[in-house]
Amino acid sequence: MARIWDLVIKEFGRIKSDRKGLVMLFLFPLITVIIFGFSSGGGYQIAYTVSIINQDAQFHGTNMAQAFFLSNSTMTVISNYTATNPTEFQNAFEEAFQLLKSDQIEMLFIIPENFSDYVANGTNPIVIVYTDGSDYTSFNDLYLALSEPFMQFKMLENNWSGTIVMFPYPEYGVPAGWNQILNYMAGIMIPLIIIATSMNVSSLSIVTELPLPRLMLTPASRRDIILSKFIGYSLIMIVQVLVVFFTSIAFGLYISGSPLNILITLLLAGLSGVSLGIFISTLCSTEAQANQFFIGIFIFLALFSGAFIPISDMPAAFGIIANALPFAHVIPLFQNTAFRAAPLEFIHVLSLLIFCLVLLVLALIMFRFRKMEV
Amino acid sequence: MGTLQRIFKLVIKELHLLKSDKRALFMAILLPPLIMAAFSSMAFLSGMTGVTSVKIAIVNYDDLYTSYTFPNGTDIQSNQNVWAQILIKTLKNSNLTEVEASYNINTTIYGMLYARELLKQQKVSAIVSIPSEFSEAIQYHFPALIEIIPDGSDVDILRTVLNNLQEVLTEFQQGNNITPYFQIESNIEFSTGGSSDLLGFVSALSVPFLIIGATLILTLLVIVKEAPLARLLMTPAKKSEILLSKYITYGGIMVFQIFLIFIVNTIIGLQVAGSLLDFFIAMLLVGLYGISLGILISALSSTEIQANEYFLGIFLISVLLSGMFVPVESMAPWLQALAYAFPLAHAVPLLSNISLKGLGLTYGPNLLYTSCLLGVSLIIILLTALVFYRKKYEV
Repeated sequence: MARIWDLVIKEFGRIKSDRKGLVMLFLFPLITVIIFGFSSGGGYQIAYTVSIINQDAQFHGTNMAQAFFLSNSTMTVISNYTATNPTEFQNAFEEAFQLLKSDQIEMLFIIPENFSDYVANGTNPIVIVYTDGSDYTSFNDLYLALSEPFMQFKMLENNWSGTIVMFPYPEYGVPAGWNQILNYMAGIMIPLIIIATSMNVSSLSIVTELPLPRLMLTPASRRDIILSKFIGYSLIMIVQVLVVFFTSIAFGLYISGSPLNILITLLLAGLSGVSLGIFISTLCSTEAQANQFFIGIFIFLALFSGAFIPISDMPAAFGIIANALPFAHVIPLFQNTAFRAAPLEFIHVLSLLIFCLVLLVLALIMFRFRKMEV
Repeated sequence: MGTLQRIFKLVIKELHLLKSDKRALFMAILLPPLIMAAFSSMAFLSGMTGVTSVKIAIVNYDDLYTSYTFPNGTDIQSNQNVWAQILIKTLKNSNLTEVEASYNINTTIYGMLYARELLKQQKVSAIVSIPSEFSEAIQYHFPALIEIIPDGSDVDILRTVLNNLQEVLTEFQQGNNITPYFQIESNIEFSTGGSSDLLGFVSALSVPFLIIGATLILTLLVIVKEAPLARLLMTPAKKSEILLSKYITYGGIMVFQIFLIFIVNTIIGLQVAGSLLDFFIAMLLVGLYGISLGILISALSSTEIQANEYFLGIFLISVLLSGMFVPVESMAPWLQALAYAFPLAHAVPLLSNISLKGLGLTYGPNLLYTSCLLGVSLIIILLTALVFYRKKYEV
């Protein structure tokens, strides 16, 4: 024990020798949290930018166009054209389509010329919609987004026949008045920062240590060295986690459950990062290799975190891979505590601990076979 | 020996230096396309799985006896539930919803409690509550209200739930001729359709992310760790030549890396609506930004650990400000300005516009993105030259 403690002290001395690097270690996670703290908006409601072409200048058509101006929570009208003849329509369409093409609008809504006739006859009116298919989330939300202007139209017409209204009351969400972006992103963003920083620092822990071969001449065993590095870098990670955690709370992190559970989740994320970093360091013989491995593994973790494609939507084989990685466990632990006030789920905690243990054992095996010359 | 010859010799020296760590070189070239291959295959196969259905629980109050006065004074007293039954059938038959449990309050008085428990245990993503006056409202042409209690803890799932339910309601109206309803003639533009759509969408996000990471790490240590650099300055080689040789060497490797990523994506099934050459050039521009930034970090740092810390900070901030997590428009104005100084805020829309919308490299908004990527890269190169010239070396 005394040997391990001395080795931990030695690690701290080494890290302290690069004070500028040490400051960066805490500064960058802090900056990233502040960035999100100063962001606003977010939430589940989508706001569409829209152009309207009204080919029906009669009463009902005008009401339909007017309904978009009244739909403040989902629609922002960028341009509104009245086009009652083919030439006007052609010009309006070309102009509006150009806006769609150049990202200035997300939807082009056309009220056809016979719209008022349909409404007057009580038949189902046809509307034509062009959406931007390159914005994956945007065109998926089409029906939901259009429900507000359709409702506004019914109100203007004072005719509720055939109307079915959906009232959502989300449970376990971020309450109104809280920073929506920070809180909805926190479950992915904060673990991402913690894993990245702890992994980055510890990935160079063995590979950069020049006096390591000489250390092997002392009574310190290889296991002691790996353990001392794990303890040393974990202690630094704990300080990082505390800095990130309290800064996030200062910027309005919403936690409906126990803050201690969030802290434990972040510490488990950090431990996964440290274990991964030490494993990388034992695998590599130069810093360039360690850096390549670090970025490769970090990008792999991020791409398979579920932030790009939800894990439930992944094909089975990829789902298994994603579930073997720390994000699949850290994100639900964080979100369930923050939003549902749920206790820590044993299976996720166990998975993360097994992940750390397996990597540490692998690191130890790699380090045992490592050849070092004094 | 002329300048060109000296630069050529320096490039050869750089290549020898790279070759001395074959494993690192091997990883630099092979890791990015391998990661891209894994991710692209996953995106392609995920796109093939098609519609995502959501699990729901239904709580039906419509069977209850209704004594209700509508806003216009119409008084209704009945216990109809014919429309609720049809709606439940529609929800059960739709491929957008999967009904896990359905409770009729007349027979299961604690139905809502049971449904809430299912929501809490994440066995369902939403509860659909059909009120007691639902059938009467449809019959008497009043707005029929449905209460949805979705799981709000994941904003993406929440949106999927609401969108799916809205679509099922439209199916319900159209299938049962509950008139008048809007018939939406939907035209999705700039979409290739099918699984290559999701691949195209995630490629626009992941390719720049991967290129920036790979090129930054490739060039991060090129100046800071080169011990014989000080001795090299005693030879006729000038600082400008040394720097230029580094750009040429690492630029060449970057082109090769990007070429492999491009090939992998194309083989897996990425369909580019625009010109393939434009897409490749856009990738090269992102790579140029990456190597410029990497060499600047290397010139600025005095130790390798510092270079690593700078890299991590810049990379993380760049990813977080890219618009992938938070739309750039939602950020505070000063943050938006900062976001546009980083490459990903330009690279993501540029690649997306070329691959999905078929816009040219200099067409419309792409001109701004291209100019920014190129302009900022050139500024960084000039800044690097300045730092490198002022840097003191001791033999």
